Amino acid sequence: MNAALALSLIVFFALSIPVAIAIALSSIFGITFFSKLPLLVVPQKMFTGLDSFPLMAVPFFILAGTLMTKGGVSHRLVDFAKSLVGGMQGGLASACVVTCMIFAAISGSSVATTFAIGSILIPAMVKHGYPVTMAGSIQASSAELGVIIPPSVPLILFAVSTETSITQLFLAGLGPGLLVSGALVLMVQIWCRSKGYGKEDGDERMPILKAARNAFWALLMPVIILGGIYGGVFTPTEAAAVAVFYALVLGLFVYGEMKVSDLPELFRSAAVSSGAVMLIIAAASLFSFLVSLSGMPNAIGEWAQSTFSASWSFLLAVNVLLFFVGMFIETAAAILVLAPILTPVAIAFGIDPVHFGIVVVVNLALGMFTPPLGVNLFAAAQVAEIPVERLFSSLVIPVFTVISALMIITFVPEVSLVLRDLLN
Amino acid sequence: MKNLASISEWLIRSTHNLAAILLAVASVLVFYQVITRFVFGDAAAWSEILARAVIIWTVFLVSGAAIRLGKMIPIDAIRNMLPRAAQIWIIRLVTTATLLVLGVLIWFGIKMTMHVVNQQVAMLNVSVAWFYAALPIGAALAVPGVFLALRDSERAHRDSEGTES
Repeated sequence: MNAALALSLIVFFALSIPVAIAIALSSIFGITFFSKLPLLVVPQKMFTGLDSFPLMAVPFFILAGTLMTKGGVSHRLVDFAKSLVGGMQGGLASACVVTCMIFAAISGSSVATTFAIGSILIPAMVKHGYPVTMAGSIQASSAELGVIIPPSVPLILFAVSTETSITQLFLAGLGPGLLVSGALVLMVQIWCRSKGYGKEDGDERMPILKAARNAFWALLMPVIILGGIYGGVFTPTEAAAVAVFYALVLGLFVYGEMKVSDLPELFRSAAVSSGAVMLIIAAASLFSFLVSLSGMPNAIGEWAQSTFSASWSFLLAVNVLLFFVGMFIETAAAILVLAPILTPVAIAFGIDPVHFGIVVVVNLALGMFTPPLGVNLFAAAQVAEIPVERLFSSLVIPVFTVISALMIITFVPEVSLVLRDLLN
Repeated sequence: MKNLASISEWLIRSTHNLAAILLAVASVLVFYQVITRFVFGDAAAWSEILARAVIIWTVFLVSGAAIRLGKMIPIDAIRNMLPRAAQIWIIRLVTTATLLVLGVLIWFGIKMTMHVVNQQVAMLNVSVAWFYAALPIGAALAVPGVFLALRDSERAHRDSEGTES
């Protein structure tokens, strides 16, 4: 059964069958030919997989992100970030990282971040003399912060599929998010100084106070959302619903950049994006039910225990595995299929599941901008209006920067756990 | 044929609109729960259960539109490298696979819904079958979306052949 599930899944993915359909089909295939289970478990497990309150944070955060992107938040955050770091050489590129970092604390997705910020900053960087490929690759790599810094859809998926606390994962994502942001700003600085780009980034900058006042209501949003979750005021799902209403009020009344007539299209688009992710979740909960029934996690666990001498070599192997998986497979599917298999093994090695979740998500976030298949790359290429292949060579530096940060996050668990342990 | 296509388009558009409305309803329900907790100090528990059902309906109702609009996230890098003639056959194969999964969801979804007809949802006093029915109904309403997506691919294929020769 195990081999049949794994093989059929790979074949179906390769045949370009949509991820959710492929996972469901390979489960149906496994049930029919390799088990005595009735096919009635297909609707049953797909239903129970979705029937969860914590999971509802996913469509709400996607909806809030869609509303935020339209509602005039992004350019205010860009102005604010420019006023903070825009003055130095490479200031515009650094502002790109900083804006993505702040936007990440509002949005749970990195593609949304690429579109929202990239459509403003990629043209601006090109206008200031940056090569378009460099601008695109800096944007694509900074946008991965969207899924590392809470709220984050992948972190919710990891939490739900491994029964880890969302709040703890959200706390643990902050340190690594700041570390990756810092690494990217450092990279941008060295890159610009060695190539002589971005010497006149400082013009058209707003004074800090004015920019902060303009962006005040947008900047307050992460305070409410994350503060509310961390402070135990809301559950993450409730916080996501509050974020939806906050985004509506901001876009419609405070900034007035969104019209009521825009809403149907925004809700339709959020319904499709969240439906696509939720269907993967439904199919994956069926799949992981079969996987756990077949004893695969135990088998892999025993094999891993006898192969890897210590937790560090296991973590290294997981990182290599996920790096290659992330290059090809969509993030939600990778988490939902692999996390339930790998997390029990990690726990057996004495690794904190919260730390493990951060490692998994940071690694797969890296996969979002590693060629050949990275959702951020396609988004950034689309915004920059160049073929995606042209970005590849300028991605070497960002990929290595994030790999270095990932290694620190992997082998220094405190980066993730210190905040959680402090607050608990 | 033309009528069938426009009825299909209408169906997909309607389920898509309905899903968008349900997403809004679910947000209102959870927001209402937050409000009741802050204002009355006691959260309404029924809103949470209802919101879960509404989200499940949203997800399965929007599946037709997601298939129709190509938003179901295929991993299509390998397919795109193949010659055009091979690509269209793979698309037909993908269509068959999708219909097969929808078929299982419709058939066994109906059976499952019948099976749970006598189970009640806590707090709401309705049959849990109302929740489960989202699967077969959503899957059935997605079928026209599969054919519309196939029709678009077949058309694009014919047009590209026309330009090449």
